[in-house]
Amino acid sequence: MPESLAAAMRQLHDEHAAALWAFCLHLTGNDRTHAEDVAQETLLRAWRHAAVLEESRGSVRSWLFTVARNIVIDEWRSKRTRTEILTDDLGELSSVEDRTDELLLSWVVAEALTQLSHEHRTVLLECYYRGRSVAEASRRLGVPEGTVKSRTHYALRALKLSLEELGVSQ
Amino acid sequence: MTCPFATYDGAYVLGSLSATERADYERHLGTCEECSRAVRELAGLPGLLGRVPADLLEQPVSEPVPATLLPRLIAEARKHDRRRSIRTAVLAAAAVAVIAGGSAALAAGLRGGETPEPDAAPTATVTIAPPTVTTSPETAPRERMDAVQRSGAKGWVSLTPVRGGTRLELNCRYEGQHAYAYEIVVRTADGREETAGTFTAEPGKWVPSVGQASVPPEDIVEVEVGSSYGAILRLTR
Repeated sequence: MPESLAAAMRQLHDEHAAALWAFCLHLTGNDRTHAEDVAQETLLRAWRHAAVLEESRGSVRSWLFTVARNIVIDEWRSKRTRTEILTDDLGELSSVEDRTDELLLSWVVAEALTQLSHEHRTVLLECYYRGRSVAEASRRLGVPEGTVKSRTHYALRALKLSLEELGVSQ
Repeated sequence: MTCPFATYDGAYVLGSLSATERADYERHLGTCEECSRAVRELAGLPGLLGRVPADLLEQPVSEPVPATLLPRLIAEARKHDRRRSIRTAVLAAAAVAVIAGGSAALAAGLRGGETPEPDAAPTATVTIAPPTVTTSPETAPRERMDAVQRSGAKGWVSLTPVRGGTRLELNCRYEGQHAYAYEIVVRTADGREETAGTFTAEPGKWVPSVGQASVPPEDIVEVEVGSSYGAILRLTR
């Protein structure tokens, strides 16, 4: 049934391609051709493992990011095997592994942040990323200081939950 | 009953409490087990938040997805889907062959050890005798190929010496639902491999095909018929 196949692919693409594309660009150091190959292979694998797509949206994202990251690592490994380059390249591989690990973690955390409500995300942006005090955040957001406190309290708990669902443990 | 500091934990780990509030809260932590536990639970989060560059949050993803991605995905998925149909068909055919194979053995037994026709591995459907490939008089005798991994395929090949190598005449059949492209691959004792030809198999029909290899027949140790999914027929000499 080619029509339903195309429809399924389009849905997968529309739902995840933008986020995955941005991740793949980072992963490949803005090599657009490489990024597109990785994104394509990742989405194909997702389509073949249809059960993955029945998970909640956030877990699908973190699965996709992980698969994309593994594709890049596997490419490095097989390139190394093919060219039989020795010790020097081993160091390079582990640095690629570290770098992509970091990248994966930061994107999964970002994904967890996107799952928060607008209020929760905003209060974390103010208090953590912009370094505002409770009093400053209260003025900027137009809510009492007690509300800023309780929002940070609930926002971090929601974030913790969402990270756990995405497989990040602290 | 509720602790007045119960909601301070978030602002505290994010570093947003004023100096006075922080001092009060820290004093309180020394006496309140519940708040201490709350802080411990959240303590790892600022480190994780620090992993995310702020611009990732503030600017939505601006880089557009390449327009070629979706068409490529659909094309690849269709290719994969075709392979999957073949695989399902081949497995179904294998099941048929297993059932039919049993009755063939029984039939052979009843005929008192009489050797069945070489092509007589029957299917549950009507057995069609393989059509004779029109060959030149000097064609070498045909050799029976073995089905690989219960593919249920049947085939014969003759390896005739010709100038510059070997002419392969092949006749094979598989029970599938789709026509599919197959390759004839020959291997030599010294590990060389060569594609001697390609053909499109039609499900349920004996399909003759001809290939050519650049090595003489005596050098060929293996002939294999396969698709991108894998081998279905093999002759080891």
